[in-house]
Amino acid sequence: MSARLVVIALFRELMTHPWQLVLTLFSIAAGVSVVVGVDIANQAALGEFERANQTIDGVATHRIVGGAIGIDERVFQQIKVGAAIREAAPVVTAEVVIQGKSGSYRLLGIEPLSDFRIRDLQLSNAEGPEQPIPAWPLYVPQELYDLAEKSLVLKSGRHIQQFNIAGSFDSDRSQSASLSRLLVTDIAWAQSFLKSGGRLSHIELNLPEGFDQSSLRNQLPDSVRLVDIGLFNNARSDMTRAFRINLTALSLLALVIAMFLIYSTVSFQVVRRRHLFALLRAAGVTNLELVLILLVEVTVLAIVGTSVGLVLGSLLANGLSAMVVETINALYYSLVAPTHTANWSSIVKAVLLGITATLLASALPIALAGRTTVRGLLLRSAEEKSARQLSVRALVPAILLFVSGLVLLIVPVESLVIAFIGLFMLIIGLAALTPWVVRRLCQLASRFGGHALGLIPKMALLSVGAHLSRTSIAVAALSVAVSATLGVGLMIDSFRNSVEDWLNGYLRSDIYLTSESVGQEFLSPNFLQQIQNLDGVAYLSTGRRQTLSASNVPTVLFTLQTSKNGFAGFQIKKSLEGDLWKRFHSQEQVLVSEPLSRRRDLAPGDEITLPTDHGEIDFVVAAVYYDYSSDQGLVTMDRETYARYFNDELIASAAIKIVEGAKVSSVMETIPNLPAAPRELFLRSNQGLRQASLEVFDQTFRVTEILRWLAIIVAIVGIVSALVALQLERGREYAVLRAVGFSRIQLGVQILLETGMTGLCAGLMAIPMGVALAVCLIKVINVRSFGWSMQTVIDGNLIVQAMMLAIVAATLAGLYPAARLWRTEIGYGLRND
Amino acid sequence: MNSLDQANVSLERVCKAYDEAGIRRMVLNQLDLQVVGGEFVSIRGPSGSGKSTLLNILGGIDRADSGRVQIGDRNLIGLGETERTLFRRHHIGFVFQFFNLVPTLTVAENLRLPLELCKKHQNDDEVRLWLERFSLEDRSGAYPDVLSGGEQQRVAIIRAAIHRPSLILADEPTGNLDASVGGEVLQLLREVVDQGACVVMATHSEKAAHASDRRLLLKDGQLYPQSVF
Repeated sequence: MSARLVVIALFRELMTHPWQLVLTLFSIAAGVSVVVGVDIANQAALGEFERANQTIDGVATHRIVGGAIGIDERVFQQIKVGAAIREAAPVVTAEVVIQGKSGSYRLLGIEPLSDFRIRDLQLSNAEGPEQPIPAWPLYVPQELYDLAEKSLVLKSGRHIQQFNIAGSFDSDRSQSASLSRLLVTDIAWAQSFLKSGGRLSHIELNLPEGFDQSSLRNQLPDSVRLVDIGLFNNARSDMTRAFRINLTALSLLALVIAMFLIYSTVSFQVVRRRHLFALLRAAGVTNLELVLILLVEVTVLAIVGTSVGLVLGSLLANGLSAMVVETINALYYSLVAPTHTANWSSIVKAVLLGITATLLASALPIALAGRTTVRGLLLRSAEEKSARQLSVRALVPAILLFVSGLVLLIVPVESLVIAFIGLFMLIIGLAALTPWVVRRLCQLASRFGGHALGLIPKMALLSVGAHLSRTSIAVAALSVAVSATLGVGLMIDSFRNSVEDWLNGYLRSDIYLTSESVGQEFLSPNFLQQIQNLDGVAYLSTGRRQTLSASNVPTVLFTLQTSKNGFAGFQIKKSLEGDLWKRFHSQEQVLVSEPLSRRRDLAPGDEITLPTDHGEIDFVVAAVYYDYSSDQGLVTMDRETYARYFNDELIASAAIKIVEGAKVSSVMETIPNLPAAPRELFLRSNQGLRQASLEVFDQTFRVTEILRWLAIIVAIVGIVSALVALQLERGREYAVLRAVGFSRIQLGVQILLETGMTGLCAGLMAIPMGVALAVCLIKVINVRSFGWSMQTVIDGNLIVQAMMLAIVAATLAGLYPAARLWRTEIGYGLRND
Repeated sequence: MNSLDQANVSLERVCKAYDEAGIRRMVLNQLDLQVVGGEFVSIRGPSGSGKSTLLNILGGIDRADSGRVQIGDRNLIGLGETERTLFRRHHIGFVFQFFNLVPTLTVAENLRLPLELCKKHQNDDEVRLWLERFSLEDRSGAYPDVLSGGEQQRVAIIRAAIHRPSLILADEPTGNLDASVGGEVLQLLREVVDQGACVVMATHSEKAAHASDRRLLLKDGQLYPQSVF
């Protein structure tokens, strides 16, 4: 086919409505940018985690770890000499802050003569290799070194020490942002600083393949364990898997909405050019030729839109990366926000996704354009008829899709991906029902309320149903977006409600205190005794939370010393029969939180193996309790049980119950002034802790909120442009109405009513969709992602807000056409069809 | 300008019905028509009598339910959608009441379009000659929306004829024009016929019909010579 002039004709027609072209590009770019933004942010966080591990762990394959107070440094000698392991390096590490600088740093105390076998930090001395190293030497990242400071004051808990900058290490080498937060010193200085002489944090080993690990394990004392670093890091990385999948799913939801818009805009481009297609077809252009040209046109749009989306996505990723890392820091582990974001895999994924999504979304309108006869193309009524037929024909597939999605959600598998596929099928199924529902709603409303409403509202109602070929998909897209905001909003609301209820039951004390900020400083028994002796203090509960490596999987152990009253704060989901307090307090049984019970498939009566200072011990699970403090879950153990298995008497936090009538504020003021009080103490009232917990909760949903609003913006732009395009296209129809006597106000009212009713229909569809989405998120997705069960709360305010959002967005779309018609002369309107 | 290709047109027992609101309406009923090369035939009839349907069937836009539609040596009844389109591309020219020029192409581009689709050599001189002959030489680079109705219809006639089709179908070509411009258009159609093409014209206008070689009336789905009534 030689179709140069056909292409020119179509292209020029496309360019006569540049804003529609811009909208098509925007739809593609918006969908792609959200996916790219989230993907880059996820990849960046994961990549940073891996890079940080690679750099800091070096070639180490295993790690010997101890209990709460680390390991005796004689173990290192035993390994070097007894087990003859050459590639072993002792490490003393702690989190520190630099006085006068923000953020925390990791101090790594190493023994240079051993450490070079494990990691290659390329330390360089400031004064040259031959010069003596100063006392309290500190090697800092290049960027810190460039500030030309001679010394830095480090703080870790109550320990403060001025270190002299001895040199730098190359922090750009691994591209790891975490290296920019690393400080290195000699192990002996680190021990002196942390007052941990003779103790090591851990020992890193590079064990050759086939090394007899069991023999090594037999040589180690009971209080230390050999951990596989790869498995341990994988388990840590897996912690964030559900969080990352949830973000990806939300970004894909934005892409699905964008696909609806692409479908809508491409349909609009096709529908608007039907007359031109008819002329070309009458002149002898075949259906196949027309389809091929349109496919090429859409592919070019997809490439341009995707390219714009990549740029926008990179910009979005900068903001999202920081938020994702912030959430990971709050929920999982400490990570430094990476400064670089783009990566090839994200770009390739986005290009494929953008082009595929555009072609998929455009396939149906293009195929329909190709199948229509010349006669059909010339008739506007035929176009609306085919839209009506399509809405009816879509009913069965839509219902099938909805039911299949429901089945996928109900089937008892743990796969999160299957759950999201089910959820997407449910949403698309409901969205596909929208055109039919909108038409029926308008028909019913005009039939039963037409006389009462009067002529103009009746015309508006009929008009909404009559122009489905132009608006139905935009309405469906708006419904999906509004339902997404409603569903996610209801889920967050329900979640928040459950957390609030849980906090109300769990936080039974009046004052909470901890000495932990950066580094480890513990509450001394003397200090705790002084608190207990204070006037107004009824009783004291103490706690200690630490991460153990049980079978290479990080497991949080919460040790609790409390009274029976304090114990009553646990909200039990399932338990063994009998007196639970007795089982916990005197029978060495433990409690596991709901997320841990789901992750490890633990039920009351099962056993959980924990590494103790006396080797690995199996503990009976007495109960599963509700807990929203960690999605990884935790094991709660009585302090007395803990004391029997761990050589650790340290206490990190305490909760104080005040006697009735005593003043919480006066006790809070007294505590920091007690003689044995640590230098830095964090005190919070019950209300303060509750507030802080909810702030952390809100922070973790900030990314979700942003993605939710991005999806809404995409949909609002879509509905506004679709409705504006439709209204402008009907200029002659409105001129005729003006010619037969409609006033400008009447016409303006009709336009606004029409667009408002379109929004109302979208809103009405969005409510059941949103509630269904919320129920799925609460009952399936959240449970599978994080292991939390929660009650479903349907907040009427959110429903009203969602409805208003749909109506206002659609009504706004009527303002421009109404204003334009206000200025247009009737004669001009009649001449310009 | 070379003479147009000649072909005979033959319709035998052609039937076409439409379903309208559940009622089947027979528009063409056992219709017969013979047109020889170089003949100008006009078809009159009341609104809704099926004139446009007949033209659409002749042009391969619509398909007859039964019968035989023979143009030259091809029976359109047996052809699929794509084959009919390709046949139309090479052998049919259309002139519509509302001109239907491609609004995003200039006059010259509109004229080159059928040549390009037929992969015929695009001779600018030929386009220029046609434009001169139809007094449109100064409108070559103009877009259709700035042309008068008469000018648009003249361009439409050239576009229908420029690739030398066997058959030109004109649906109310003067319906939207005043009497004097309508007369010019009919004169131009006559010139095209003189080049050897068949022209079948549907019209309401008795005056327009008088410009043809043979006048037919479409009534109750069948064609009758005008002289019968």
